[in-house]
Amino acid sequence: MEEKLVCRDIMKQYGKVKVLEDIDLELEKGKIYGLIGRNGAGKTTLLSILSAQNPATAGSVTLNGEPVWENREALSHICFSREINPLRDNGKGLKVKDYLRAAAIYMPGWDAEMAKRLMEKFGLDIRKPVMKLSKGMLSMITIIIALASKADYTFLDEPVAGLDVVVREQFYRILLEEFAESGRTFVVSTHIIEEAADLFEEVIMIDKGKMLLKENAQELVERAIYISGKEDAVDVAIAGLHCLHTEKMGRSKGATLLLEKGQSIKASEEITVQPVSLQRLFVSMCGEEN
Amino acid sequence: MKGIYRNLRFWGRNYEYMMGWAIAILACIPVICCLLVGNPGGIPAALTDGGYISIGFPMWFILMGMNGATTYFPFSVSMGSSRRDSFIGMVIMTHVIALELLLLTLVLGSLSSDSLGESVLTVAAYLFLALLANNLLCAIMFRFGRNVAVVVYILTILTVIIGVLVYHMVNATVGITGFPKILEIGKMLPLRVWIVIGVVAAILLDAFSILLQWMSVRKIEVRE
Amino acid sequence: MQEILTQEKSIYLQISELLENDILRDILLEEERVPSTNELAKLYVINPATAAKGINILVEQGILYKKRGIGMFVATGAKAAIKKRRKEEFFDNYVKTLLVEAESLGISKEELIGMLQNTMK
Repeated sequence: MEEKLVCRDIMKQYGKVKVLEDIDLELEKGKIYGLIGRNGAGKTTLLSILSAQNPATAGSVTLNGEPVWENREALSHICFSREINPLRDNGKGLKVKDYLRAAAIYMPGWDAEMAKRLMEKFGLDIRKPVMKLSKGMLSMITIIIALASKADYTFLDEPVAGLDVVVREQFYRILLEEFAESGRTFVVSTHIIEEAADLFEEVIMIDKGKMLLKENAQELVERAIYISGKEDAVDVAIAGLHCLHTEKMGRSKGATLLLEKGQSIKASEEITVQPVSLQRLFVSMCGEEN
Repeated sequence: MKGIYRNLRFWGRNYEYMMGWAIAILACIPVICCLLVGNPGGIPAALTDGGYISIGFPMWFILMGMNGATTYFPFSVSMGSSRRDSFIGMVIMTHVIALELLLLTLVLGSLSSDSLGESVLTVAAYLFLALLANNLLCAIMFRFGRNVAVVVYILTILTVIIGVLVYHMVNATVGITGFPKILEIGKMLPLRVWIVIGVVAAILLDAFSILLQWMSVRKIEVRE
Repeated sequence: MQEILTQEKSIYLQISELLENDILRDILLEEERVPSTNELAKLYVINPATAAKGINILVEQGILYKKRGIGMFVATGAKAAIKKRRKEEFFDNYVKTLLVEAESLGISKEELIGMLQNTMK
């Protein structure tokens, strides 16, 4: 039985609104996945369902073939470290040490040493009530719990929200270090795509509840190109190709394309061909002008 | 079993902590009252006064139960526990706490001059009602949200208070004649049988209310 | 080893290029061990699989080879092989672009040759 966390035909609706539809996903052991999507696209909901913290309306989630829902054994391999919101029930009156203690009780692989070390590194006080912490500190606790959980499949939802750039870079390093040492699977959902792009082995893109793509990050970026030049020349070049987004200014036109394997466009004196970053690609695919 | 054990540790720790504080605070009330009135000698009696225990303990118990369910239940699920394990842990610990309160009452009761049997039975009855109420309120809360449950809680308390007041008023003026009939039915069977019936009914009611709670909790979502 | 990575080109290609540059500059000598995928990943804050991909390109080209249990090493003759390959790519990478640009600017063949002769003494 291959070791994978698999979800099939996941659909989730609240009342009449479908927040997730037709999600088919296989998460393998030992990879870092990036889950990117706009606010409200369904990233958090998807992670909740994958970790059995929320039930799907339809579809199944299995770990190594066994359904994850209410499955103690499967759940012990998964950790979903959510954003802590001190205003809702989740965080009312709780202190940092409550979180760490609960993690120690519930997570079989909990590494208390690591948690302590990271707490000190980030300068966090264990006795502080969660309500008194800044957004950045809450993010750090989420990160610490996720990393020290030592779970085979660890999900982080917007882990860098509220962190300044210096701490963000520390986080990326710590994550890679832990990954290199343990080979755990991480799924990181993030808005700050460009910074995190290099961390991901595979990228999963969600838009309006649907999965747009799941692909090796490097291969995906290689498929994306930006063509610019005089409008008619560009139109000729992009004919028949998958064009994501175009913009015009005067007589010039720019087009963002996602090529299939084997397709290519050569630069000439008429058109400039440039590579496209993951972030640009994302905006082209999920931005509002489409 | 591991999952249930973990939850017993979690709920046990949280509930013992909450009740410990509650009892400590409750104990301060009669102490302070006695001191204000200038009667320090009356403190032991005040502490063991059946009325204060029988109302204070159950009310705190329900608050603890509801608060625990609303805060700690989703919390435990977000930490990776299954709902079933967490629920079992929570239910076991609420019963354990209820028993502890009963024992505490026994201990306090043995220190006081009240007749032991009566006060223990009364408090047991009140605690059981509190247990039941807690289960039902939690069921409502999981299904309809915290605000609805709190409203129901307050309404119930008001109804009880009003009902008791009305009863006393009516009794004082007119006198209630309905009760003697009940007492006669009561005499039909020996006390032991009534106790057995009472216990069985209590267990069934408890189980039923736990089931209701489970139905609401089974698919609960952990929300931001 | 000290170059920064850009976002506009595949990371793994950049990794293989910078390793090649280091070999050409004698920062990495033949039969010397090159940084492991984990070390590269740590240094550039990238996914180890990406670093591995970059290294594999060089292994396939015979620039690097693997010593089991120890790591990746620079092959003998790697420097010469890299130079040779880059010479072959020189035309595509630089000359073609030069010609295209010159043509679009209307620079004649004679002007171009003149420019080259003046610079390359």
